[in-house]
Amino acid sequence: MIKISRQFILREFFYFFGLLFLVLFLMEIIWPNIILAYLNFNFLFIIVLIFGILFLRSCHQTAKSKEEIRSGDDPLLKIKQ
Amino acid sequence: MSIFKPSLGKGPLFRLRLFFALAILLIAGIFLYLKIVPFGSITYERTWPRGLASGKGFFYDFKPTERIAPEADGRPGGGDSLKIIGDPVYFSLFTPRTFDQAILIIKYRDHLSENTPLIEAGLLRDKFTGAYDLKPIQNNILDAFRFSWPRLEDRPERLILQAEKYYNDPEEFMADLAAGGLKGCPPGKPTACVAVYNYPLSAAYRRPGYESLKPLIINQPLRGAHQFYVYLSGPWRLSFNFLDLNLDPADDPITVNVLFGDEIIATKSLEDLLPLASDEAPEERELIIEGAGAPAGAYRAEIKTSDDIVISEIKSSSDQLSFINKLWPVSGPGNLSVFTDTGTISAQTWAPASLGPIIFGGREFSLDKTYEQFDFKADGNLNEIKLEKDDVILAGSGVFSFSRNSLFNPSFKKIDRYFSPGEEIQYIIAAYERPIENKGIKTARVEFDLWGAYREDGKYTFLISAPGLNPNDALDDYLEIEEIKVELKGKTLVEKIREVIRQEK
Repeated sequence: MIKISRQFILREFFYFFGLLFLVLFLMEIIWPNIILAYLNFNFLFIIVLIFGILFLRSCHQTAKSKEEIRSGDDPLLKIKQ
Repeated sequence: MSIFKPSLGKGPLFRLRLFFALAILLIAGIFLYLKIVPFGSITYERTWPRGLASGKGFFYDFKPTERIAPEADGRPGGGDSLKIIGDPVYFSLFTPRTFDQAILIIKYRDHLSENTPLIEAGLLRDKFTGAYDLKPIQNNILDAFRFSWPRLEDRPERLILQAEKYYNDPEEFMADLAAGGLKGCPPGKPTACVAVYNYPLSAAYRRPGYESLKPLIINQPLRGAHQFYVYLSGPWRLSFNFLDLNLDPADDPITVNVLFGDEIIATKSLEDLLPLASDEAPEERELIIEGAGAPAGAYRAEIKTSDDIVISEIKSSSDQLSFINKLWPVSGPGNLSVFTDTGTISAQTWAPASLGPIIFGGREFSLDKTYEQFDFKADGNLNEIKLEKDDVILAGSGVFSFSRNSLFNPSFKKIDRYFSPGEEIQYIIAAYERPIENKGIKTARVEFDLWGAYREDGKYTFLISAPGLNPNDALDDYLEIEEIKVELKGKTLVEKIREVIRQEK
């Protein structure tokens, strides 16, 4: 069973918007103006960027909490002691 | 299971990614559909204000900016409407593919003065000559005559007005017109008493017993594209000498067409006279175009080229030669005399050295600013223009020639903003549909044939013109555009595939 975490959602949306951006960007290169006429790439890029940053941040937080557990700084452990 | 090691099986992650992949394909498919337009018909529109649209849209380059009123934020055309304060304003329409027909629908508020009775829309046909296919949006002159002159026929395709009730049957009128014998007109001269507007009408122009006494040589250099009428009968010959100024690095090909009616009877071309970045001194090149036996009549010659090319000499086997609508004499000895059959001309110069007085119809006018168009009005219909210095663009709804004897005009009088029927004009023929007005907003609809229209980088160029609208005058007049919509029609995908298969067979 997949753990539906915040990190998972952020990652999947980052992949989705990143790939969408790439596909539309390639289409715009092949047929100039067909995407830009309808859609501002900046908006799509900002969405990709936001999901990318949030995903990296959540990865960093996960790694940090794992590190804390490994080094015995877990606040729960401290309470038990 | 760790989120960094997704399952490759058909679990929820696979299903989610499949869903996203299909969504990407669907979005790409929608854009592909909008690119191909498989059913051959699509509508693009531009409204003011733009609303929430995030894309660039399909309408570009509303220019020149000095002819568009700036909004509060300083951007021309960026407010609640597009306020046109000068004539004309150009814009481009991007289309992802080619189409055959465009229907332009414009919603506007008319804040124009009596000096600007016409509003027209145009589609660029030829980049070099700057020829636009003009269609009426609003014509207050025709609207006024529609209610003051008896209407012989009143359909959008054909409006026939007559000064007096000469005819009851439009077909009888058209038959008499074709025969050259209209009631109330001098026999054999229908061009003298019929005015046309947006209606293709040509008369068989004949000069019985005409014989050119000597060839005509025009030594006065002319700059850029020109058109002229020439009366030909039997063997004929036109020769041109061209000079490339090379002020613009772009190529300057030259094409000369000779037409009888709408049919090209002879054509010749020259490649760019001087290659790009050439250090050579400009050298004259000659182009000769000739024919064996032309039926007697008025022919039209088109010299299609850019403003970088100077026509240094024209030699014609016929001495009847009149330039149509525009004449741009340059680099001559000065003190030039030009004859015209129009009562109103416009003059413009780009060269400060060419500023000075212009005598038109015996009256002196002053051309005292560069890049500005001046309109001069004379009393009569056959007038002489005297220029102390050349390099002045002369334009008018008529013909121009360098001698009175050469001047002839085989075409019907066109209704322009200065039109007055006088005593001569007894009939008006037009193809014109009035705009529909609703709560002060007028809606006009014009159709353009896109076949052969100029298209560059996927863009067609249009213009909106209100002749006489001047941003520098004291009047607070403007044209307020609320919406521009273009309905495009062309081949469907199935028709295109069939066409390709047919061509390959």
